[in-house]
Amino acid sequence: MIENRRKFLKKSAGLIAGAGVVSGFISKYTTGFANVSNEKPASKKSIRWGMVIDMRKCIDGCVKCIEVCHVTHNVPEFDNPKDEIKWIWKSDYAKVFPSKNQQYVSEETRQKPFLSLCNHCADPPCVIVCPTGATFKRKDGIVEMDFHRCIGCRFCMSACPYGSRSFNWRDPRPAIGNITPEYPTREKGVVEKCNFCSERLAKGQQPACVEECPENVLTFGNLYDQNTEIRKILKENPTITRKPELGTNPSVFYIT
Amino acid sequence: MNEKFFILAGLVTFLLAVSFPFWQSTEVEVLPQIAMQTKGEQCVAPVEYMRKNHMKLLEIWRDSVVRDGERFHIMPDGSKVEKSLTKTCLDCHVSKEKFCEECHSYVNVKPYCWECHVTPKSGGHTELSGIDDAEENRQNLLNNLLARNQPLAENNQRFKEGKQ
Repeated sequence: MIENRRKFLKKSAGLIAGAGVVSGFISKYTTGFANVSNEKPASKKSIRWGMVIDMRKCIDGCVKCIEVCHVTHNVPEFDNPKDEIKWIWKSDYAKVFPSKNQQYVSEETRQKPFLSLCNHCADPPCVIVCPTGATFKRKDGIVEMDFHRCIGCRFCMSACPYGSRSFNWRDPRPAIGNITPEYPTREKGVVEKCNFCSERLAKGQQPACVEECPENVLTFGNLYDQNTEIRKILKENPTITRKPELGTNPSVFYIT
Repeated sequence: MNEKFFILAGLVTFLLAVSFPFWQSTEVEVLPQIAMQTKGEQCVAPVEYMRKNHMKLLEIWRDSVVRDGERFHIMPDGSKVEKSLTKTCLDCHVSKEKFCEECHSYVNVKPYCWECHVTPKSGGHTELSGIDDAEENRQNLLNNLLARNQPLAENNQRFKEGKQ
Protein backbone atom coordinates (compact mmCIF):
# COMPACT_ATOMS: atom_id res chain seq x y z
CA MET A 1 0.00 0.00 0.00
CA ILE A 2 2.74 2.42 0.97
CA GLU A 3 4.68 1.45 -2.12
CA ASN A 4 1.70 2.25 -4.32
CA ARG A 5 1.19 5.56 -2.69
CA ARG A 6 4.86 6.44 -3.19
CA LYS A 7 4.61 5.52 -6.88
CA PHE A 8 1.44 7.49 -7.24
CA LEU A 9 3.01 10.62 -5.80
CA LYS A 10 6.08 10.27 -8.00
CA LYS A 11 4.00 9.83 -11.11
CA SER A 12 1.69 12.73 -10.39
CA ALA A 13 4.61 15.04 -9.62
CA GLY A 14 6.13 14.12 -12.96
CA LEU A 15 2.84 14.68 -14.72
CA ILE A 16 2.35 18.12 -13.19
CA ALA A 17 5.90 19.19 -14.03
CA GLY A 18 5.43 17.99 -17.59
CA ALA A 19 2.15 19.81 -17.96
CA GLY A 20 3.77 22.98 -16.66
CA VAL A 21 6.56 22.82 -19.22
CA VAL A 22 4.15 22.10 -22.07
CA SER A 23 1.75 24.89 -21.13
CA GLY A 24 4.72 27.25 -20.94
CA PHE A 25 5.60 26.47 -24.53
CA ILE A 26 1.99 26.65 -25.65
CA SER A 27 1.48 30.10 -24.17
CA LYS A 28 4.80 31.30 -25.54
CA TYR A 29 3.88 30.47 -29.09
CA THR A 30 0.15 30.79 -29.25
CA THR A 31 -1.16 33.54 -27.00
CA GLY A 32 -2.46 36.25 -29.24
CA PHE A 33 -4.67 37.93 -26.71
CA ALA A 34 -3.71 41.55 -27.22
CA ASN A 35 -1.41 40.89 -30.11
CA VAL A 36 -3.86 41.02 -32.97
CA SER A 37 -1.71 43.21 -35.19
CA ASN A 38 -0.84 41.80 -38.54
CA GLU A 39 2.35 43.64 -39.23
CA LYS A 40 2.90 41.41 -42.20
CA PRO A 41 0.20 41.55 -44.87
CA ALA A 42 -1.79 38.34 -45.25
CA SER A 43 -1.56 38.56 -49.03
CA LYS A 44 -0.36 40.94 -51.70
CA LYS A 45 -3.82 42.45 -51.93
CA SER A 46 -4.00 43.18 -48.18
CA ILE A 47 -4.65 46.74 -47.13
CA ARG A 48 -3.82 48.60 -43.96
CA TRP A 49 -5.07 52.17 -44.20
CA GLY A 50 -2.92 54.76 -42.52
CA MET A 51 -2.35 58.50 -42.35
CA VAL A 52 0.61 60.82 -42.03
CA ILE A 53 0.04 64.26 -40.50
CA ASP A 54 2.74 66.72 -41.45
CA MET A 55 2.41 69.26 -38.66
CA ARG A 56 5.06 71.50 -40.20
CA LYS A 57 2.52 72.51 -42.83
CA CYS A 58 -0.59 72.76 -40.62
CA ILE A 59 -1.86 76.33 -40.21
CA ASP A 60 -2.92 77.54 -36.77
CA GLY A 61 -6.53 78.58 -36.63
CA CYS A 62 -7.45 76.72 -39.83
CA VAL A 63 -10.39 74.40 -39.18
CA LYS A 64 -11.23 73.27 -42.71
CA CYS A 65 -10.63 69.55 -42.10
CA ILE A 66 -12.73 69.65 -38.93
CA GLU A 67 -15.53 71.52 -40.64
CA VAL A 68 -15.77 69.21 -43.63
CA CYS A 69 -15.65 66.14 -41.36
CA HIS A 70 -18.45 67.44 -39.18
CA VAL A 71 -20.60 68.29 -42.18
CA THR A 72 -19.96 64.94 -43.89
CA HIS A 73 -20.71 62.84 -40.84
CA ASN A 74 -23.42 64.93 -39.16
CA VAL A 75 -21.32 65.58 -36.07
CA PRO A 76 -23.37 67.67 -33.61
CA GLU A 77 -22.20 70.97 -32.11
CA PHE A 78 -23.19 71.28 -28.46
CA ASP A 79 -22.76 74.50 -26.50
CA ASN A 80 -21.61 72.72 -23.36
CA PRO A 81 -18.00 71.55 -23.81
CA LYS A 82 -18.79 68.49 -21.67
CA ASP A 83 -21.11 67.26 -24.41
CA GLU A 84 -18.59 67.81 -27.20
CA ILE A 85 -18.45 65.19 -29.95
CA LYS A 86 -15.02 64.86 -31.52
CA TRP A 87 -14.00 63.09 -34.71
CA ILE A 88 -11.00 65.20 -35.67
CA TRP A 89 -9.91 68.08 -33.46
CA LYS A 90 -6.98 70.24 -32.46
CA SER A 91 -5.28 69.88 -29.12
CA ASP A 92 -2.10 71.00 -27.33
CA TYR A 93 1.15 69.23 -28.15
CA ALA A 94 1.49 68.26 -24.48
CA LYS A 95 -1.90 66.56 -24.56
CA VAL A 96 -1.31 64.75 -27.82
CA PHE A 97 2.18 63.56 -26.83
CA PRO A 98 2.15 63.27 -23.05
CA SER A 99 4.70 60.47 -22.98
CA LYS A 100 8.24 61.75 -23.22
CA ASN A 101 9.14 60.14 -26.49
CA GLN A 102 10.72 63.34 -27.74
CA GLN A 103 13.23 65.47 -25.89
CA TYR A 104 14.27 69.06 -26.52
CA VAL A 105 11.25 69.72 -28.70
CA SER A 106 11.34 73.12 -30.34
CA GLU A 107 9.25 75.85 -28.79
CA GLU A 108 7.37 76.25 -32.06
CA THR A 109 6.27 72.63 -32.08
CA ARG A 110 5.23 72.72 -28.45
CA GLN A 111 3.08 75.79 -29.03
CA LYS A 112 1.31 74.35 -32.03
CA PRO A 113 -2.24 73.00 -31.89
CA PHE A 114 -1.90 69.38 -33.00
CA LEU A 115 -4.47 67.56 -35.07
CA SER A 116 -5.80 64.46 -33.41
CA LEU A 117 -8.19 61.77 -34.51
CA CYS A 118 -8.77 58.05 -34.01
CA ASN A 119 -5.44 56.28 -34.54
CA HIS A 120 -7.01 53.15 -36.01
CA CYS A 121 -4.56 51.12 -33.99
CA ALA A 122 -3.33 47.77 -35.22
CA ASP A 123 -3.90 46.51 -31.65
CA PRO A 124 -6.97 48.49 -30.64
CA PRO A 125 -7.80 48.31 -26.92
CA CYS A 126 -11.32 49.58 -27.60
CA VAL A 127 -12.07 46.49 -29.70
CA ILE A 128 -10.86 44.15 -26.94
CA VAL A 129 -13.15 45.69 -24.30
CA CYS A 130 -16.32 46.14 -26.37
CA PRO A 131 -18.84 43.66 -24.92
CA THR A 132 -21.17 43.60 -27.93
CA GLY A 133 -18.72 43.63 -30.81
CA ALA A 134 -20.02 47.03 -31.86
CA THR A 135 -16.45 48.21 -32.27
CA PHE A 136 -14.42 45.94 -34.48
CA LYS A 137 -11.34 45.96 -36.65
CA ARG A 138 -11.92 45.58 -40.35
CA LYS A 139 -9.63 43.59 -42.60
CA ASP A 140 -8.27 46.83 -44.03
CA GLY A 141 -7.20 48.02 -40.57
CA ILE A 142 -10.00 50.49 -39.95
CA VAL A 143 -11.41 50.38 -36.43
CA GLU A 144 -15.07 50.69 -37.28
CA MET A 145 -18.15 51.29 -35.17
CA ASP A 146 -21.40 49.49 -35.76
CA PHE A 147 -23.76 52.03 -34.22
CA HIS A 148 -26.59 49.50 -34.38
CA ARG A 149 -24.89 47.33 -31.79
CA CYS A 150 -23.58 50.04 -29.44
CA ILE A 151 -25.25 49.84 -26.03
CA GLY A 152 -23.51 52.95 -24.71
CA CYS A 153 -21.53 51.23 -21.93
CA ARG A 154 -18.50 53.46 -22.67
CA PHE A 155 -15.93 50.75 -21.93
CA CYS A 156 -14.25 51.73 -25.21
CA MET A 157 -13.99 55.33 -24.04
CA SER A 158 -12.06 54.34 -20.95
CA ALA A 159 -9.96 51.87 -22.94
CA CYS A 160 -8.94 54.34 -25.66
CA PRO A 161 -5.68 55.99 -24.61
CA TYR A 162 -6.16 58.83 -27.06
CA GLY A 163 -9.58 60.17 -26.07
CA SER A 164 -10.78 59.59 -29.59
CA ARG A 165 -14.27 58.55 -28.60
CA SER A 166 -17.24 60.67 -27.64
CA PHE A 167 -20.54 59.79 -26.06
CA ASN A 168 -23.87 61.23 -27.08
CA TRP A 169 -25.21 62.46 -23.77
CA ARG A 170 -28.03 64.22 -25.58
CA ASP A 171 -30.05 63.69 -28.72
CA PRO A 172 -27.62 64.89 -31.41
CA ARG A 173 -30.24 65.75 -34.06
CA PRO A 174 -31.18 69.24 -32.82
CA ALA A 175 -27.48 70.15 -32.55
CA ILE A 176 -26.72 69.43 -36.19
CA GLY A 177 -27.11 72.48 -38.42
CA ASN A 178 -27.70 70.88 -41.79
CA ILE A 179 -28.18 67.17 -41.80
CA THR A 180 -26.33 65.47 -44.63
CA PRO A 181 -28.79 62.76 -45.63
CA GLU A 182 -26.13 60.46 -47.12
CA TYR A 183 -24.75 59.65 -43.66
CA PRO A 184 -26.86 58.68 -40.64
CA THR A 185 -26.91 60.73 -37.46
CA ARG A 186 -26.48 58.97 -34.15
CA GLU A 187 -28.92 58.74 -31.28
CA LYS A 188 -28.67 59.48 -27.60
CA GLY A 189 -26.62 56.88 -25.73
CA VAL A 190 -24.28 55.88 -28.54
CA VAL A 191 -20.50 56.30 -28.74
CA GLU A 192 -18.97 57.65 -31.93
CA LYS A 193 -15.58 58.40 -33.44
CA CYS A 194 -13.66 58.88 -36.69
CA ASN A 195 -14.20 56.06 -39.19
CA PHE A 196 -11.43 57.04 -41.64
CA CYS A 197 -14.30 57.86 -44.02
CA SER A 198 -14.89 54.18 -44.76
CA GLU A 199 -18.06 55.16 -46.66
CA ARG A 200 -15.97 57.35 -48.99
CA LEU A 201 -13.20 54.77 -49.36
CA ALA A 202 -15.82 52.31 -50.62
CA LYS A 203 -16.42 54.69 -53.53
CA GLY A 204 -12.70 55.08 -54.20
CA GLN A 205 -12.52 58.55 -52.65
CA GLN A 206 -10.01 59.85 -50.14
CA PRO A 207 -11.16 60.79 -46.63
CA ALA A 208 -12.91 64.15 -46.56
CA CYS A 209 -10.30 65.83 -44.33
CA VAL A 210 -7.47 64.74 -46.62
CA GLU A 211 -9.27 66.07 -49.66
CA GLU A 212 -10.22 69.37 -48.03
CA CYS A 213 -6.86 70.35 -46.50
CA PRO A 214 -5.44 73.30 -48.48
CA GLU A 215 -1.85 72.63 -47.36
CA ASN A 216 -1.62 68.87 -47.98
CA VAL A 217 -0.97 68.28 -44.30
CA LEU A 218 -2.70 64.92 -44.43
CA THR A 219 -1.58 61.98 -46.54
CA PHE A 220 -3.70 58.86 -46.64
CA GLY A 221 -2.86 55.49 -48.13
CA ASN A 222 -2.17 51.80 -47.85
CA LEU A 223 0.68 51.13 -45.43
CA TYR A 224 1.22 47.63 -46.82
CA ASP A 225 1.94 48.85 -50.34
CA GLN A 226 5.55 49.96 -50.62
CA ASN A 227 4.87 52.15 -53.65
CA THR A 228 2.31 54.45 -52.09
CA GLU A 229 2.86 58.11 -51.34
CA ILE A 230 2.40 57.49 -47.63
CA ARG A 231 5.18 54.88 -47.52
CA LYS A 232 7.44 57.24 -49.44
CA ILE A 233 6.82 59.97 -46.85
CA LEU A 234 7.37 57.51 -44.00
CA LYS A 235 10.65 56.43 -45.56
CA GLU A 236 11.93 59.95 -46.09
CA ASN A 237 10.85 61.58 -42.84
CA PRO A 238 11.27 60.73 -39.17
CA THR A 239 7.78 60.25 -37.75
CA ILE A 240 6.36 59.69 -34.31
CA THR A 241 3.17 58.02 -33.10
CA ARG A 242 1.13 58.72 -30.00
CA LYS A 243 1.97 56.80 -26.81
CA PRO A 244 4.11 54.14 -28.50
CA GLU A 245 4.88 52.56 -25.12
CA LEU A 246 1.33 51.17 -24.96
CA GLY A 247 1.90 48.91 -27.94
CA THR A 248 -1.30 49.89 -29.72
CA ASN A 249 0.56 50.40 -33.01
CA PRO A 250 -1.28 53.45 -34.32
CA SER A 251 -1.85 53.86 -38.04
CA VAL A 252 -1.62 57.66 -37.73
CA PHE A 253 1.90 59.07 -37.91
CA TYR A 254 3.12 62.59 -37.15
CA ILE A 255 5.91 64.63 -38.66
CA THR A 256 6.72 67.37 -36.15
CA MET B 1 -85.91 34.18 -6.89
CA ASN B 2 -85.82 37.90 -7.56
CA GLU B 3 -82.14 37.63 -8.25
CA LYS B 4 -82.72 35.50 -11.34
CA PHE B 5 -83.60 38.57 -13.39
CA PHE B 6 -80.49 40.46 -12.35
CA ILE B 7 -78.24 37.51 -12.98
CA LEU B 8 -79.64 36.96 -16.45
CA ALA B 9 -79.51 40.65 -17.30
CA GLY B 10 -75.91 40.84 -16.13
CA LEU B 11 -75.02 37.74 -18.11
CA VAL B 12 -76.58 39.10 -21.27
CA THR B 13 -74.82 42.46 -20.86
CA PHE B 14 -71.56 40.68 -20.28
CA LEU B 15 -71.97 38.50 -23.38
CA LEU B 16 -72.93 41.51 -25.48
CA ALA B 17 -69.91 43.41 -24.30
CA VAL B 18 -67.56 40.52 -24.93
CA SER B 19 -68.89 39.76 -28.37
CA PHE B 20 -69.10 43.45 -29.31
CA PRO B 21 -66.12 43.41 -31.70
CA PHE B 22 -67.54 40.41 -33.58
CA TRP B 23 -71.04 41.62 -34.38
CA GLN B 24 -70.20 45.30 -34.54
CA SER B 25 -67.60 45.27 -37.32
CA THR B 26 -69.92 44.92 -40.22
CA GLU B 27 -68.38 47.92 -41.90
CA VAL B 28 -65.72 47.42 -44.54
CA GLU B 29 -62.29 47.53 -42.96
CA VAL B 30 -60.09 50.46 -44.04
CA LEU B 31 -56.92 48.92 -45.35
CA PRO B 32 -53.76 50.98 -45.62
CA GLN B 33 -53.47 52.70 -48.97
CA ILE B 34 -49.91 52.13 -50.03
CA ALA B 35 -48.45 54.34 -52.71
CA MET B 36 -46.92 51.99 -55.23
CA GLN B 37 -45.60 54.54 -57.70
CA THR B 38 -41.89 54.13 -58.20
CA LYS B 39 -39.15 55.74 -60.25
CA GLY B 40 -37.49 52.52 -61.33
CA GLU B 41 -38.97 49.49 -63.02
CA GLN B 42 -37.55 46.62 -61.01
CA CYS B 43 -37.23 45.93 -57.31
CA VAL B 44 -34.13 44.55 -55.62
CA ALA B 45 -36.00 41.27 -55.06
CA PRO B 46 -39.35 39.78 -56.16
CA VAL B 47 -42.33 41.75 -54.86
CA GLU B 48 -43.82 38.75 -53.03
CA TYR B 49 -40.56 38.24 -51.13
CA MET B 50 -40.26 41.94 -50.34
CA ARG B 51 -43.80 42.11 -48.97
CA LYS B 52 -43.08 39.45 -46.39
CA ASN B 53 -39.38 39.83 -45.81
CA HIS B 54 -38.28 43.43 -46.45
CA MET B 55 -37.24 43.77 -42.81
CA LYS B 56 -35.08 40.66 -43.06
CA LEU B 57 -33.50 41.88 -46.27
CA LEU B 58 -32.72 45.23 -44.66
CA GLU B 59 -31.05 43.48 -41.72
CA ILE B 60 -28.98 41.30 -44.06
CA TRP B 61 -27.97 44.42 -45.98
CA ARG B 62 -27.13 46.29 -42.78
CA ASP B 63 -24.85 43.54 -41.50
CA SER B 64 -23.10 42.97 -44.81
CA VAL B 65 -22.45 46.69 -45.34
CA VAL B 66 -21.31 47.54 -41.81
CA ARG B 67 -19.56 44.33 -40.80
CA ASP B 68 -18.18 43.04 -44.10
CA GLY B 69 -17.96 46.25 -46.13
CA GLU B 70 -19.95 44.70 -48.98
CA ARG B 71 -21.87 47.67 -50.18
CA PHE B 72 -23.43 46.61 -53.46
CA HIS B 73 -26.44 44.50 -54.36
CA ILE B 74 -26.86 42.77 -57.70
CA MET B 75 -30.26 43.51 -59.22
CA PRO B 76 -32.28 40.83 -61.04
CA ASP B 77 -31.10 42.27 -64.37
CA GLY B 78 -27.45 42.18 -63.29
CA SER B 79 -26.93 45.87 -62.54
CA LYS B 80 -25.43 47.06 -59.26
CA VAL B 81 -27.13 49.20 -56.65
CA GLU B 82 -25.99 50.38 -53.25
CA LYS B 83 -27.35 48.38 -50.32
CA SER B 84 -29.06 51.35 -48.79
CA LEU B 85 -32.52 52.02 -47.45
CA THR B 86 -32.19 55.75 -47.95
CA LYS B 87 -30.18 55.83 -51.15
CA THR B 88 -31.74 52.92 -53.03
CA CYS B 89 -35.16 51.99 -51.61
CA LEU B 90 -36.40 55.48 -50.92
CA ASP B 91 -34.89 56.89 -54.07
CA CYS B 92 -37.24 54.65 -56.04
CA HIS B 93 -40.24 54.61 -53.69
CA VAL B 94 -40.68 58.34 -53.63
CA SER B 95 -42.98 58.67 -50.62
CA LYS B 96 -41.84 57.38 -47.25
CA GLU B 97 -45.11 58.46 -45.63
CA LYS B 98 -47.22 56.56 -48.12
CA PHE B 99 -44.91 53.61 -48.69
CA CYS B 100 -43.48 52.83 -45.24
CA GLU B 101 -45.49 54.55 -42.58
CA GLU B 102 -48.95 53.85 -43.96
CA CYS B 103 -48.53 50.13 -43.33
CA HIS B 104 -46.36 50.38 -40.24
CA SER B 105 -48.89 52.51 -38.43
CA TYR B 106 -51.71 50.15 -39.50
CA VAL B 107 -49.97 47.11 -37.98
CA ASN B 108 -48.54 49.25 -35.16
CA VAL B 109 -44.89 48.45 -35.63
CA LYS B 110 -42.30 51.10 -34.86
CA PRO B 111 -39.03 50.42 -36.64
CA TYR B 112 -36.27 52.64 -35.28
CA CYS B 113 -34.47 53.18 -38.60
CA TRP B 114 -35.27 56.88 -38.61
CA GLU B 115 -33.85 57.64 -35.19
CA CYS B 116 -30.51 57.84 -37.02
CA HIS B 117 -31.01 57.42 -40.75
CA VAL B 118 -32.17 60.46 -42.63
CA THR B 119 -34.84 60.68 -45.31
CA PRO B 120 -33.15 61.66 -48.57
CA LYS B 121 -33.59 64.99 -50.29
CA SER B 122 -34.54 63.35 -53.57
CA GLY B 123 -38.08 62.41 -54.55
CA GLY B 124 -41.06 63.63 -52.63
CA HIS B 125 -39.43 63.52 -49.19
CA THR B 126 -39.63 66.80 -47.38
CA GLU B 127 -38.66 65.95 -43.84
CA LEU B 128 -35.15 67.38 -43.75
CA SER B 129 -34.68 70.18 -41.30
CA GLY B 130 -32.65 73.28 -41.86
CA ILE B 131 -32.50 73.27 -45.64
CA ASP B 132 -33.73 76.87 -45.81
CA ASP B 133 -30.89 78.27 -43.74
CA ALA B 134 -28.14 76.06 -45.10
CA GLU B 135 -25.67 78.89 -45.51
CA GLU B 136 -26.34 80.27 -42.07
CA ASN B 137 -25.97 76.87 -40.44
CA ARG B 138 -22.67 76.21 -42.15
CA GLN B 139 -21.42 79.63 -41.06
CA ASN B 140 -22.49 78.89 -37.48
CA LEU B 141 -20.58 75.63 -37.52
CA LEU B 142 -17.49 77.37 -38.86
CA ASN B 143 -17.75 80.13 -36.23
CA ASN B 144 -18.11 77.57 -33.44
CA LEU B 145 -15.07 75.65 -34.62
CA LEU B 146 -13.04 78.83 -35.04
CA ALA B 147 -14.03 80.00 -31.58
CA ARG B 148 -13.05 76.68 -30.06
CA ASN B 149 -9.68 76.70 -31.78
CA GLN B 150 -9.03 80.37 -31.25
CA PRO B 151 -7.16 80.29 -27.93
CA LEU B 152 -4.50 77.94 -29.30
CA ALA B 153 -4.03 80.06 -32.40
CA GLU B 154 -3.82 83.18 -30.27
CA ASN B 155 -1.22 81.63 -28.02
CA ASN B 156 0.78 80.79 -31.03
CA GLN B 157 0.42 84.31 -32.36
CA ARG B 158 1.75 85.71 -29.11
CA PHE B 159 4.64 83.29 -29.29
CA LYS B 160 5.45 84.33 -32.83
CA GLU B 161 5.38 88.00 -31.94
CA GLY B 162 7.53 87.42 -28.90
CA LYS B 163 10.13 85.62 -30.95
CA GLN B 164 10.57 88.43 -33.43
